[in-house]
Amino acid sequence: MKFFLKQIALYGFFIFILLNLVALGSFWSLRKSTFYKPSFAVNQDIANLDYIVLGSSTGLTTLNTVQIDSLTNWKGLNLSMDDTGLPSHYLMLKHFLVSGGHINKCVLAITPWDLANSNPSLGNNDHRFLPFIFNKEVKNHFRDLPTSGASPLFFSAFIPLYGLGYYNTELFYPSLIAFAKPEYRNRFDEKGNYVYPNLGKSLSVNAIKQSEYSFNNPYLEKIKLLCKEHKIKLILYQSPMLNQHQVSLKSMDLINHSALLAQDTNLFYDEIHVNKKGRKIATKSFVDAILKR
Amino acid sequence: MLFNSITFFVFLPIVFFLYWFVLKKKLKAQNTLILVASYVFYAWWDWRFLGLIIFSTLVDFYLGIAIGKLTSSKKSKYLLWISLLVNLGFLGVFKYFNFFIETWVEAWSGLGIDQEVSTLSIILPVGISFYTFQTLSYTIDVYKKKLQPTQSLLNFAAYVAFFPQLVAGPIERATRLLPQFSNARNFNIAVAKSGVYLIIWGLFKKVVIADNCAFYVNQIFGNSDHFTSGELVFGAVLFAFQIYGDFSGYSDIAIGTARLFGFQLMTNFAFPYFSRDIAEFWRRWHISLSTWFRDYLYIPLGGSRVKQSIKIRNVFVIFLVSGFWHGANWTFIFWGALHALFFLPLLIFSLNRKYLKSDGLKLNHILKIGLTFLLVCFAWIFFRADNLGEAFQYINNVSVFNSFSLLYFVKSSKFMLLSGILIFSILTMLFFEFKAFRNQLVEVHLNKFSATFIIVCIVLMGAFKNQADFIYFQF
Repeated sequence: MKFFLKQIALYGFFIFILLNLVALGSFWSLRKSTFYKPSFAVNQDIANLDYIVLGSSTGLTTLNTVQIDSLTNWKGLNLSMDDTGLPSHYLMLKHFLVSGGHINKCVLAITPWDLANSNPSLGNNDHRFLPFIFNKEVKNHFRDLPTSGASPLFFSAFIPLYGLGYYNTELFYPSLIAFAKPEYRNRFDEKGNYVYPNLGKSLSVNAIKQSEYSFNNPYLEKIKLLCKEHKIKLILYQSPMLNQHQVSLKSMDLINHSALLAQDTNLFYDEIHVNKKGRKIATKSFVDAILKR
Repeated sequence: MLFNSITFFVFLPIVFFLYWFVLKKKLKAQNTLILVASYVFYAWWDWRFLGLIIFSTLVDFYLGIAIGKLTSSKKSKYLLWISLLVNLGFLGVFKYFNFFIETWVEAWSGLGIDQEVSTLSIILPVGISFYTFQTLSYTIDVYKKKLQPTQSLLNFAAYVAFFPQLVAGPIERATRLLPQFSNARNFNIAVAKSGVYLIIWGLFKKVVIADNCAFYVNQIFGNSDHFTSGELVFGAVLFAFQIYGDFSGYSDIAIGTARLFGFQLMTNFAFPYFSRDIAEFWRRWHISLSTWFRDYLYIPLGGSRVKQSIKIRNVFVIFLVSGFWHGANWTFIFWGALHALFFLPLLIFSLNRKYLKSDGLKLNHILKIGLTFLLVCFAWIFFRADNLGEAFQYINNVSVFNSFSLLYFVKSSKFMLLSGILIFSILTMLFFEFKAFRNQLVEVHLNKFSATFIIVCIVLMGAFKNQADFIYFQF
């Protein structure tokens, strides 16, 4: 019996160490690359930027930082990640600043449903921060976010294998690509942008629906405070939507382009995302609005 | 509690430690621990249904004692009927009641008569089909004088609720498992090691193969109209691997876990997809259920020692009942009927016992293995579909031969990766199983190195984020 337990313990320990080394190797490979946004955000010259764009898929696909830079002579990056919410945007900003990033302006692309969410939780792509789990800001962020059961993200700070196993297809295999090609980016350009093609779902034009924002998400305040702390001007931006007009009764500094493209289905990929043509117009309008301020 | 959960991997070492170190050599205390652990294991899912297991245990324990004491066969038979009614009654209420009501209403509405009958809003207690059959086998064996009734309620309750096989088998006979609770268990390092390896192998089949297949299978079977013929064929093949990985994986973990506590459970799967005909398939697939039906249904009906027409009837009965055991749906009954049809030619031409061993594998057997696999996959379409209409629609969509394109499986980088993982893991499984099959073994044998490889595969390829429940829990 003792021999069996000794063997199991030794064997288990060996496997545990081996797999944790694999996990650490994967994290290292991703950290050194530009594969995902959290690595992309820190593995380039970020000390002399003018602005960054934060947001989910609407921020990622609407504001083209290449176009903004050419129209303004500013220098910026799009650090939006699809399928995320305000907690992830907050973490991205913090991560960027802790890693030595410097900006004057932060454009935050908001969505009504995210602002209304009073119980924010993990974003679907938050695992992209996992290679940086040993950084205090990332670890603490995942500790504070509510999860059901033991969060693979937070506990990866103690057992890296846990997070790697849980998100194996999202982390291990990309880490192999990142190791072979550190400059490879996961579906975004050299400035962090992604665009939907002009052909999308068949869309229909309906009467414009007017909706009001609800401000319930506590992470908006956190982002505001962080920007204030670092003397960064926070610009809230609402991207164009099809058949929808968002209004706010609360006085707030917001570039609200929800109804900008009105009901032109040629400019949309789906109800909430513009396509390539729409992005061009939306970005131009954004620059005009920001320069007027 | 699920075998593939962190909870189980905390629960197992605790029970193991208490069993061998705290309660060592104290048989009664060890059995008590197994019983308590088994109830905790079950209650983790839903404690309310523990009452059913306890009730079923008490009924069959006392009926067993009463049957054992009686000399009158008439009275014994009467008590056996009580056991059958109680156990099958539970199954009837929880599993089949709504099905019978709905079928009744549909039958009358077919004649133009609308009936208003309400159904029961109940959930199916996990494992009810498994432990019911286990307790039934006990009373039947006691009635047939094949087994002396146990006088220990503790041993009997531990036998009924034994946590490794409580919710999805193997369905153990009392004649085999119950005596193991009465005998002192000694720790055997070789047996325990084989148990650990079997747990690792079972996890690989469940977490890597079954759960990854589930991703494609759910999409393809959920919208069969949107897929090409080629993709639908692959959907059925993937379901074959999903259900095999899921169910045989569970059985392997159950058998491996039992070995850690000094118990031997029966082999439930013996590489069924290497079968050369349907008869061999049924000797290798869900062995504990098929032998249960053979011993308690097929043989009492006369088995194969009757005239041809009765033999054919018996085959149909056993396959239809086996299908119905899986679930209250016409799809399962149809699945059983299909297997009966596949089996009949072998029975009629006395070819059903041609491949009793896995030796002598010849080149032409590969063709037979392939053909048998295709027949099995065809029948799986009915097993997987939500209703018969869906199954026929699926087959219709395959048969139009619109395209053999498999582009769906490589439509994005995510899909390409998943397809790659599936091809690699299925080939890995077939490699290990074929090696064991050629050596006439009934389970895969791993060593330290191959086990390390399998663990690495589990961690790097397992579908942990999208875990699916064990399919057989619903039965």
